[in-house]
Amino acid sequence: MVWLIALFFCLPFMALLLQLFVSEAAIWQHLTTTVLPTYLSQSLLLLAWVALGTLLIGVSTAWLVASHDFPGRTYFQWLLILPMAMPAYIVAYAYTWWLDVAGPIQTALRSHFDWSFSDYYFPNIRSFSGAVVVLTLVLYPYVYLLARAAFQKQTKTLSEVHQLSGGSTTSFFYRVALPLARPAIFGGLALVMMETLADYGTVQYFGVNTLTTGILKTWFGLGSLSGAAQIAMLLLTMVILVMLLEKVWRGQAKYDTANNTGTTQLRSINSSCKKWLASCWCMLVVVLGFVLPATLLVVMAFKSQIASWYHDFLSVTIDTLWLAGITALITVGAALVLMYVKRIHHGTSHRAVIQAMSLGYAIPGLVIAVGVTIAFGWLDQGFNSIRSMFSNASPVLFFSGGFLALITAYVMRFLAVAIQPIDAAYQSIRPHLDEASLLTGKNSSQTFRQIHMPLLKSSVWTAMLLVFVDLLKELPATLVLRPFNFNTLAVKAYELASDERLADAAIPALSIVAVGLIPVLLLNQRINAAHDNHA
Amino acid sequence: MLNLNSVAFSYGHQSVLDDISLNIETGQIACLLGPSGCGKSTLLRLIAGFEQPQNGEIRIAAKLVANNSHSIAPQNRQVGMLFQDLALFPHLSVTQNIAFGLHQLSQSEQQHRVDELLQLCRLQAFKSRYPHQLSGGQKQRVALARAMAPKPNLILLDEPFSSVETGLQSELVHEVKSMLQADQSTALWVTHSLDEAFAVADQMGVILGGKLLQWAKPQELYDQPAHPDVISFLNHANLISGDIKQDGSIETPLGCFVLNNQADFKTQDCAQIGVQKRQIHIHPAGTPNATIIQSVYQGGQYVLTAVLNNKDSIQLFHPSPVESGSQVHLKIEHESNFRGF
Repeated sequence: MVWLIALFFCLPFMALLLQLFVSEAAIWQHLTTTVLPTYLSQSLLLLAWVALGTLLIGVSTAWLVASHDFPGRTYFQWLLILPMAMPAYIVAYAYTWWLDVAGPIQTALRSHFDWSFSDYYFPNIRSFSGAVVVLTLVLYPYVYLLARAAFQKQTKTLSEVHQLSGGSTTSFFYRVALPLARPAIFGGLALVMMETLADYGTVQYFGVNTLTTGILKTWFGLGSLSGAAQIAMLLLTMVILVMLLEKVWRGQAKYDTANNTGTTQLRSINSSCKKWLASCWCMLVVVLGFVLPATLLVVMAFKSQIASWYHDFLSVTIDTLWLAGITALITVGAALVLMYVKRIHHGTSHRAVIQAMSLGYAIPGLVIAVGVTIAFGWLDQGFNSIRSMFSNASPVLFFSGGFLALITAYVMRFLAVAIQPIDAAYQSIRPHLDEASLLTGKNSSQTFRQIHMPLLKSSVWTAMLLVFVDLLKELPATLVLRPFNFNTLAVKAYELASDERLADAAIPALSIVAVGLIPVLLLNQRINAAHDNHA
Repeated sequence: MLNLNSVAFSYGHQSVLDDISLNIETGQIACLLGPSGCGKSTLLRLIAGFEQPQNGEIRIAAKLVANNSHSIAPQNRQVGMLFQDLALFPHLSVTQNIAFGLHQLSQSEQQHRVDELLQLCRLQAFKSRYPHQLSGGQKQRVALARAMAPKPNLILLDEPFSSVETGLQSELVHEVKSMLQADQSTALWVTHSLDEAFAVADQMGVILGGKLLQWAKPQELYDQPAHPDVISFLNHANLISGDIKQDGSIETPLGCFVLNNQADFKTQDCAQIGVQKRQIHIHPAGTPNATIIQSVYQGGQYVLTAVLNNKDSIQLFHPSPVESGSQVHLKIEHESNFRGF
């Protein structure tokens, strides 16, 4: 069973690899001499700027919240993770609607000062820097969360030792707190970089030519799937580099934190001016990352002509829920099988395979989509050539034409999301429980049903919820692989935004954000519970 | 009921158990004593069927359950086990935990057996509670009741009191023993605590470094230890060395003694005997044969450490402290035949 799932997993990647060898040299040459350098340099630049931005915001807010006392600290602790509920492309739509030439701000400026379009300078949101800002605002919570956890784990004795030796708070931060939190911060940064590389919706909307937009342009613009596959391989290589980079960054820095059970003592900030400065900084981040775009979406929704496409919206919603439900079931089912096998088999090969499959989340949706398309195209060719031996029916796209390809891509991408909570729950079930059950004469399937399932239940639900929500937000793979005439809320929002119907896009966008808030709040609750237990 | 014949087991190249043979009669409570890491828990896992021996055979109720080529699954061995961490099912109530293994019985038989055990283990008042609502001792009793419920051929207890506070342990030891006896269970009990083992065992053994050094009645183990390491582990006796004389007896600084295993030695061999601490006394008269180097007060008497003329260091009990450096004459009382090592 594990090997079957593993084979299924390998197929798209083998397809991508093979495609490198059968590719048309002319296309590759054309790409390298024309657009590829742009794609690559834009991707790298975007990566660097977003990394810098998220580091700055994530670490500063985490340090403030984790160890300083200032007005609103307890609220900011969880408010700061809210931007996680916002897919970047949706924030991009909201800000574009607000700041674009035809948006309320510029219109107001023009009417107030009686300017016309060319009379004044206004920063263009639909630009490279716009993409940097939007991605930073949405992705910094990864750094924030991991850095905060690392700062909170550091015991107060550390800072007391530092104080006794006469150091200031600033020097404590640079000499002790930051180096200790470094592995965690880089862990968060690696996630940010993977998400940035995988982003398609934002960069496409802002007209930034990165590798992801390059894949789609080559595929559908040039009509070259193999060219797209080559760019996809390049993107995949970059993701792998980021993963390796994270390992190198972390180095041997697995600091011993096992005994650090003490709670951090909050530093009081003496000057009230500085206190409010801290509050304002956190407030600014929360407002720009969540409150403002969410408010804008609500305002946009009120301006939309929902009445004209109400039925359409309803059917898209139902389609999305149905697809998300099925996908969540399949993904969680696969995760359960894998984790069960991991529990009962102690072999290292099984573990390695499962470990490898958990990496799917790091691979951009578009890369998976290209791989699945190629692999399933081959399957269809094979299927049709066998079929043509027996009948004269016209060829069908049995594998690549329907939901099979789409759901396969989803399972590959989200399996890690489902595995994580189930694995954690399985590890908290002590192995002796299985043995105790076996000794009373129950066989392994009875043990699974009567012991494992009841104890895994809540984690299984969590896993389903996480996959469900991630699917709602997923854009690029859905865009490429969805069957003809089938839409999800994310794709609908994307299409409406591309048609310059931003106000209408707000309604599906808001639905995605609303559902997306559930796991974020759940995550926050869990972190707090863990922190309370720790203290 | 349980019969082990030359059982051996290793993880990779690391030998964990070597040539273990023992026998437990129906209704007996047997104890395996040994420090942590000696392989005693592994032995229980072999008997339960979670591991398979590389050599030797295991029989339960005369039926061969495991050898190097054949192993009956744990669920088909009719063995119950009390785990070190108890392994109560956290999502099931006390009653449901106890009834978990009674699926072969009818509803009314299950009810009857559960009631019987609730009464035996004094758990009636807690029967609908969940594990997290129980005290350490109560959890212990539930785990035991669950292991006993299907009336297994054999109950294995793996360090059952390691998670219980020290004060409660001695009380629980007797409780568990009487519960096992009341249900006429056969049990193999593994522990590192001497007190626990001597309190419950009908038959006991010492495992050190994967070898079963002795398997005997508790009194025999105490009075006639079969291996110098058993003496070191029990720490109730001293090892005194000497030379074998022509008549086969051993000459030590404390006198000449007849060995009951003379045939094992040749003249002028160097050998050791085990002499219990309580057998050695200071004799007021006689030429000094030892120097006292330490007196430590311990539970109503003094434990003296003395160095013999041959540099052997020994311990003995004495009602009063003796000044360090004093030369004394030590004598062995209640002499019997000693076993030479």
